[in-house]
Amino acid sequence: MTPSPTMAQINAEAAAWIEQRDRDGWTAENETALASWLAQSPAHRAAFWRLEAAWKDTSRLGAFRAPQRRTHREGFTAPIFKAVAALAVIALCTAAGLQYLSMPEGKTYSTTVGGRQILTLSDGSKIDLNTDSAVRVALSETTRKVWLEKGEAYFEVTHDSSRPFVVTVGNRQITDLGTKFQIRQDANHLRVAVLEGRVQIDEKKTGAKPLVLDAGDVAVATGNAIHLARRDTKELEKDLGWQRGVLVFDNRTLGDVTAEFNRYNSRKMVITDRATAATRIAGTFRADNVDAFVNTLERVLGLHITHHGSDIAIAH
Amino acid sequence: MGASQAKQWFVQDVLPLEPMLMHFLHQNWRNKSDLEDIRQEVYALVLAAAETAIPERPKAFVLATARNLLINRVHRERVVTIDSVADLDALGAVADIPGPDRTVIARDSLRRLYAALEDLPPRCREAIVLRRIEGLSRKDIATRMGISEKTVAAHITTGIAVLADLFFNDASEPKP
Repeated sequence: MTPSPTMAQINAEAAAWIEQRDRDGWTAENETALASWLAQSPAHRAAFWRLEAAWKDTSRLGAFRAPQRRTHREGFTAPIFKAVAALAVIALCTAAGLQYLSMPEGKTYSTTVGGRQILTLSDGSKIDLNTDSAVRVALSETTRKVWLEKGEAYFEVTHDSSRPFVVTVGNRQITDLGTKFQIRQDANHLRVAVLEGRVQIDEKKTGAKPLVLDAGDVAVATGNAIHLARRDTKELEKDLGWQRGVLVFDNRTLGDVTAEFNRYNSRKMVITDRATAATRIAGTFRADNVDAFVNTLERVLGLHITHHGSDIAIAH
Repeated sequence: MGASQAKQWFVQDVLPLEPMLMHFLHQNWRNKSDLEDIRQEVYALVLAAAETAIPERPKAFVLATARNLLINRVHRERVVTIDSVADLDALGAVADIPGPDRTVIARDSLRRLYAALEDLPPRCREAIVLRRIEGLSRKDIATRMGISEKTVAAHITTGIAVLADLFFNDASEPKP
């Protein structure tokens, strides 16, 4: 066996190879030189592959490239790392760079698959539209009306008790009582999550008693029934990763996760067996980078990936 | 046995065992400054074996290799402190403790990566962030940080090694 000082040296050499390979200007000659260095001993290979494995994973941190904030000079690491460390803390104050739109009566705004749009209404309220979604907005002197026609939106409402802010989804009305909340409409259910303040849900048809939700409350409505659950608002903020272009999952089945990805992308993932669909995972991924996600599945979970046209089949 | 197969096995089945391996080495080797060398020696031996035939039980194999290596070292060292030999004969039992499950490790890796980054020396971390998160070239990093390209390369090279140590050694693992 090689004497001890050499091992640390080998490790340093391996790190230097990785640093060199990773930058521009890596040539075929470099590649050959690396290959022969690796061929020299298992100690070289072990050191190199170990460092390479950890280094490869750091690319996943790229998900946190802040899209709007490029204000780093000295001390720039602080904001980035706060964003990274405080995973669940969603920056609600992305005021800079918001599009300012003066809203004509009853105008419709929509996003395509993978799209996102932030609307700032003339009353100062903000609507953040997620992928494949549409809202119609009508503001007047005495009323503020919004219809969520499809999809998902996050609302930050400037409270004004003389002018209620009412979101209509199908036959239900959600009235803001001063707050931040999220509404998502899927094929067969409506989900309202309150992050701050209170909202009220009214059933237009049944005339049932209004339901008031506080911060941390999540209402899921299917058919005529509404189920109410309480969650930590930090948890709820994870569902708003899309505001930063990422999807955050914490112990979710792969079936749910791929369905979530499919909302954002025209290339759809299909899981072909039940055991794989039931696998639970956690992680943070860029919503628009299906390839990176699929590579992770392949590499980390050892799943088999097959491309069929624009679809991606995932199997055990 | 193909080299690529051995590599895959090494990365997927052996590297996740590092916290367990380091814990074992910590408990059974007194001179802590030897540990990195010993770890790499264990890896080299394990990999050399896998290139001939992939061992069926990675955990048991890694621990057996580590144990033999420690015994050999004890014989080779001219001065051996008594407790560095600890309970080498009782070590066989260690192989049965449940090691970390690969899926759990993968699930957790992003969190550990953040933690690892946080622990890097500031300048080193800055260079790594500019390279990996901002995607800047070596030259641009040099300009941004006001240092030479050579220094940037040195920071990143150090970072790669330190990051791997922090990454593979789960912080939740007890550290004697």
